[in-house]
Parts: sequence; structure tokens; C-alpha cells
Amino acid sequence: MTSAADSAPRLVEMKGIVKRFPGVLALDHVDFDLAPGEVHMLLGENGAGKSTLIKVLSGAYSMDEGQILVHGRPVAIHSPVDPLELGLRFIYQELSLVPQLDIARNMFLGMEPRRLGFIRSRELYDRAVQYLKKFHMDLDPRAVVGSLSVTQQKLVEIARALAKDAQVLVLDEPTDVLEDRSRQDLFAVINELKKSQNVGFIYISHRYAEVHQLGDRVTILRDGRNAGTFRVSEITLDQIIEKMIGRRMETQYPRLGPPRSEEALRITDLRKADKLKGLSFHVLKGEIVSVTGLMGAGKTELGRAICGIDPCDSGEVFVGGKRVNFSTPGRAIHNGLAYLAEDRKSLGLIQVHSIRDNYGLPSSSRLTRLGFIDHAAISREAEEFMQKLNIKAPNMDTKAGQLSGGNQQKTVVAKWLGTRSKVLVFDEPTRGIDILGKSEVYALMKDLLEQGIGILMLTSDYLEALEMGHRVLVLYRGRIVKEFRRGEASEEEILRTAIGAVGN
Amino acid sequence: MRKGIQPLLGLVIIFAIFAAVSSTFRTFDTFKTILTQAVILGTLAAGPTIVLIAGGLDLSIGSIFCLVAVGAGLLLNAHWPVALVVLASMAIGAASGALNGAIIVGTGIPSFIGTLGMMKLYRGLAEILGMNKDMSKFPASFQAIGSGYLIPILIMVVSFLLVWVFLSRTKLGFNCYAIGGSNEVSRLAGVPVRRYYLIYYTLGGLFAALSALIQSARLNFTNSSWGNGMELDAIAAVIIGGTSMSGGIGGIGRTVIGVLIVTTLNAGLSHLGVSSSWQRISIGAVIIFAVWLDVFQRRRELKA
Repeated sequence: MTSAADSAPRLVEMKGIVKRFPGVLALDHVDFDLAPGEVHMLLGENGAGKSTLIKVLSGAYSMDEGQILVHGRPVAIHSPVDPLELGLRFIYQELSLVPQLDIARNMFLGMEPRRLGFIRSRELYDRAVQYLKKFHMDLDPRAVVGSLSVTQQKLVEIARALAKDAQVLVLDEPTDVLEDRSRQDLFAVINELKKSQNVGFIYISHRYAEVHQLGDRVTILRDGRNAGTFRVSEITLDQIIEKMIGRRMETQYPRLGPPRSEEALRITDLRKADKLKGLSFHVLKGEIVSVTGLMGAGKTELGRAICGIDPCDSGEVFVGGKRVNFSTPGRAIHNGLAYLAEDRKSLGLIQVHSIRDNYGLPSSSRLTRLGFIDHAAISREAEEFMQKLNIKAPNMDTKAGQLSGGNQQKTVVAKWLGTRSKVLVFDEPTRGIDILGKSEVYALMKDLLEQGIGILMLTSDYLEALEMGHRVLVLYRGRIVKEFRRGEASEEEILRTAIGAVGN
Repeated sequence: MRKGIQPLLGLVIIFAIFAAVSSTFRTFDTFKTILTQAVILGTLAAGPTIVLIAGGLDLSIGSIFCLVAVGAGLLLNAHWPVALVVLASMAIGAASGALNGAIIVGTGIPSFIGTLGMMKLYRGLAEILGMNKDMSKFPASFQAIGSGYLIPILIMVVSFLLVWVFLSRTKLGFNCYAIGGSNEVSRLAGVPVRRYYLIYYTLGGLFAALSALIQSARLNFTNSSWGNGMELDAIAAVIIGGTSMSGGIGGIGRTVIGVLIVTTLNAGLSHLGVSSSWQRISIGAVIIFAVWLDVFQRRRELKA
């Protein structure tokens, strides 16, 4: 089926985009284009490069190689101002409206019609009404944004973008916060706009079902490469999933030995508001249990609840068979639990402090006598761990902020090993780490198993969950919907379960 | 250039410039004056050294200073034994600091606003208690605290040593840096952040009390108008010395330098006949420079 998309000059073309970060090739010669009047879906797993590609387009990142054309003309995007002048608008997950102002004021923020420095109200509201009608949005321009529903707020954001004569709208996970019905409303508006205004949409989503509902074409990114651009009518969901997963770059996954028979950790009926709805499972000594699922499924909440960081409503935790108090971080640590945060930079380490000081923090009580800290012991242990874990830095006085992602992660592990934990909860252990670093982290985890430690690994990387876990628990909206054993499942099955297509 | 060296270098340069330019500055007398003034400011500044490293801020220490001075004066007038007066004064200081800490930790309001409010409160209290009271002519044993050079300097040096030991050798001190570096990372590591903040603010109050006692003893009278703006001088000294405003970095050694820079600047400008208003302008400029230097260096350090 040919469409206008085939022959019309492209709104946006990105050719051969390369973006490197220290140790990672985030975008590997990616091609992407957008035709007028089309909705082009951009899919890919976490870390595949979707956000990076968009950030290159929006001016947040500068590309290392490649070319960007708008309306067929090459453009240089050096800062976030440039794309705006070219008619590109970006709508992110976080809302960027001012809740205290009404719709009209938000729509024309910074560009209000003025005379002699005063805002011409009547013109402001008239224009707002005009645009809202044009976009078929049933909203009152005098309504205060803060009082609107989330869907309506999203619509206002779109209206604002379009009122500034946007020709390209980039939407990043717009429906994550929307209910089913609201999503349909949003789709209706998008469809209307693409037909009547010839606006082009780049739509990022991890709800693969939306592809066929809304998209005209779809591009799948995998490991920083474009795994294919297809007309939506010519590809099935299964094929899309296949392309997303495919064969990966060689990550070394160590072979894990069998776990011991004693329990390291047991959770019974853990509940927290509507985030965790009665979770029960166990982890043996020498075992890695992966917990995976979509963002928002409850993984981080689980980790933080077990380790006393956030309160939960009910539930029991047993370490080594004994029921323990996990009401505060201090007590959880004292009882052998350790939580390694997803956000290494702001929750895992004190960036301005040295490796040594970071190491000593959770161990300070252990190494204190009569109020006085044994600094020599801290230095000695920090040195030992730096050797053991092969943390690459000039010395232990190097500031944490100067380390690479992989070395920062190792420092975090070192610091928790210092507390003699029996259970380590890793939240996204290899996020933002390159291949080499990942291998080292996995090898480290294997060593820990041999010491009888139990590991609970929370991850959104399904392959990692499968290859590095003795068992995989899939979380969906706060419940464990399925448990897989190694060898019993494929990455694809896990993905399907995670998105709720199976076992829900 | 190592970070701690710069303020020291600055001090040496400032001293050298004044010594070169003003003949009256070059005397031993000047040195004694600087030291005398440094004792009171220095003892006071030991408190904010700890509090700032922990990432907190107490703007009320000048008012606590005043409150303790008034309290001491009243108790001495009531003929309390000197030893008891000293203890009671320290208790008042500690209690005030603790109250500040409790309010900030308990309500979660930013330390700037919280201690700003307490600053007014304590001063008001001091004025009510001390207005129109003649608090002077104290017993000799009390005056001894502030007379001459030996004892006051000894008190200041001991204070600094205690703070040094506290910060570099104790768990409370170690965690002080951690909390200032990141409240949340510390909390996740099991540090009882709120309880420790209480302790740090209490210590701040204690040093304010000590400083007030020295001044009351030396001048042999107290007044309910004292300490106005002293908190800012103390905090300025700490920052000029190189302790970071955002917490997690710093030390008492740096405060020593900072205090000396401030007092040397004041003394030098006086010797040059500069009015106190211009002195204020200079100190202000130095503060801005010091904070800018701190921010600039930290940005560079993390980029490396």
C-alpha cells in the first residue's frame, strides 16, 4: 500500500548517526527518517538507543558522526534551541506545564501577545480557543492546568507544541501514565492532526500493542543499531519482538554452579499500597534469583522494601531462616541485607568522596570502638577490596565521581561486601556499563555465590535475567505472575510475560 | 595545587601586603590584637565547621552567643558559683543548638529558614531577660577565663583540637562528612541521619556558649545587644577557609586559616585607616571569591 509517505520529502532524516560514551557505542550508524503526516514508532529495549537518538535530535547530545536533515536541508543542532527553531517539538514523560496557570497561559508561555509590555488577554484566550478547536480538543482555555486529568494535561502539552507551529512532534512514552480510555483519546487527536495538519510524529513506546493501533511505520533499535524499519501493515508483533531481541553482542555470562540447600532469604506476603501486592518467594545460598518486569512493575519497590529503605504495609523477611527486623536501613544492614541502588551516582556512592571513604561508610559501626573509628582498618580493607575486585583507579583516594560506570559499580559492591551481608539485592546491576565491565560484574557475582551469599537481581534486561539467574520471577503490576527456571524459557517468553501478554 | 593550600597562601599574601604597606601593622602588638580577636571568632566558628560539613546551617549562633552571655551575667549577678555558671551557660548553648536541630529534623523545613527564625527568637529572649540589667564586675575567677592571652588562646586551641579529633577520629565525625556528602546515601548505608544532625547542631550551640563566656570574662560585663551578625562572620570564616557550603568537605584546620584571614583583613584595614564600612565590603568580596573558588574547583574535580 503506497502512501504519501513514500514520495513526499522527508520532514526529518538522520543518516549514519554515531554517538559514543566512554566505553559504550550508544548509536552505531543509525539511519532514521520521518515523513509528513505519519506516525513513526520507535521501539527497542532499555539501552537500545531510543532515548539517545532522540537526545541527539533534540540537541541534548551532540553526535560524533552523521548528518541530520530537516525538510531536505542539512542542519546543525548544537543546543536545545536549534530544533525548536526548525519546527521540532519534544514531549517527554515528565510533564512540563506550569500547574498554577491556566491552559491558555501555558500554551503561549513566553510568547504571549503583548502591547507595551502588558499581555493582551483577550487575544491570548481567543488564540487559545482557535487552536483548541483546530486540534479537536474539548478543553476550556481558562481551566487551570493543575486541575486537569493527566490525559488532558498531555493534550495541552501537545497543543502547546503545535501552537508554536510544530511540524514534527516527538513523544517519549506518552501513554505510560494514561489509562486505556485516555489513550484512545490521545490516539484520536494524533490521527486527526496527522491527517489535517500533516504533522509528523516520532512515537517512542514500550507498549508494543500500540504499534498496530497507531503507527504507520516502525523502526526497531537494538544495541545501538537500526534493526529494521517497516511499514506497520507489513510486520507482526511477533516479528517485532524477534527483531528487538535477536542475537546480541557477545556478553560473557559465566556458568553458575548449583545453589546450596539452605535458604539465604525468604519473603512472605510483602505488601505496599498498590505497588506490591503480596509477594512471597525465597532465595537459596549460592543462588541468583532474577526479578524482572516492565518499568513500574515493582522491582525497585521490592528491593527497597526488603532492605528497610521505604516502609511497607506488611510482610515478613527471613535471613538464613531467621525472621528479621527490616524496618530501617540500619536494622536491615545489621541483619545481613544489602541494597545496591539502581541509581549508582546519587544513591550508591558519595561522588565527592574517595573510594576509601565510600567503602567505609556502612562499615563504620563495625570498625568503631568507644566512639573512635579505626581508620587504619578502613584503609586496609578498602585496599584489599580494590585488589580483589580489580577496581581500576590510581589509588583509594580517587574520588568516586571520577570512576567509570563499571568501577563505580564495583566500589558499590565492595562497600556492601564490607558489611558481611548474607543477601545482596542488585537493582539494575549492569545499567550503563560496557561489555567488559558487565563481564566483570557477572564474574564478581559468581564469586559471591561461591561464598554462600544469596543474590536477588532486579533487572529490566530479560537476557541478563535469564542468563544470570538460576530462576527468573516475572513481576507484573506488583505481583509475581510467573516463575521460570533456567533452560525452561526463552527471552521472548519472558518479555511476553512481562508485558502482560501471558500469564496475567 | 592542593586544595587546602590556597587559603593559607591567601593568608600569607594578605599579611605580607599589609605588612609592606602599613608601618603600624608590622608590630608585635598587631599580632596580639589579631590573636585576641581570633580567639572569640575562632571558638565560635568551631561550631559551624561541624554543622556546615554535615550539610546543615545554623544562622542563630550569634543570638545563642547573646543569650548565653545574658544568662551568664544574670547568674553571676545572682552570685552563683563560677563553676556552676560555666556549666549552666554551656547547657543553655547546648539546649539552644539542640532545639534548632530538633525543629529542622522534625519539621523538615530548610535549615536556612528554620535557624533564621530561631535567631530572632533567641535574641528576643535575650533582650527580655537582659534589658536594663547591669551585668558587670564579675568575680576574678570568672574574669580569668578571658583575661590575658594564655587562657583564652588555650581554650580556643583545645576547642580546635577537640573538633579535630571529633572530625578525623570518631564515628560521629566520619559520618558527619558522609551526611554532608549525601543525606540519602548515608541513610541507605544505615547512618541515623536525623539523630546525628541533632548532635551536630547541639555542638554548634556549645561552642557559641564557650565563645560568649570568653568575651564576657574578658570585657567584665555582658549586654543583651551582643553577637549581632557574629554568625555571619563565623560562617564566612569557615567558608573562606575552604569548607564547602554544600557539605561533605572541609576541616577545622581550614577554619583556623579562615578566621585568621578575616581578623587579619580587619586589623590591616584598620591600620590603614579604612572605615568599618569598607572593611565590610572587603570581607564580603572575599567571601564571594572563596565560594566561587569552591564551586569552580568542585566542578573541575568531578570532570577530570
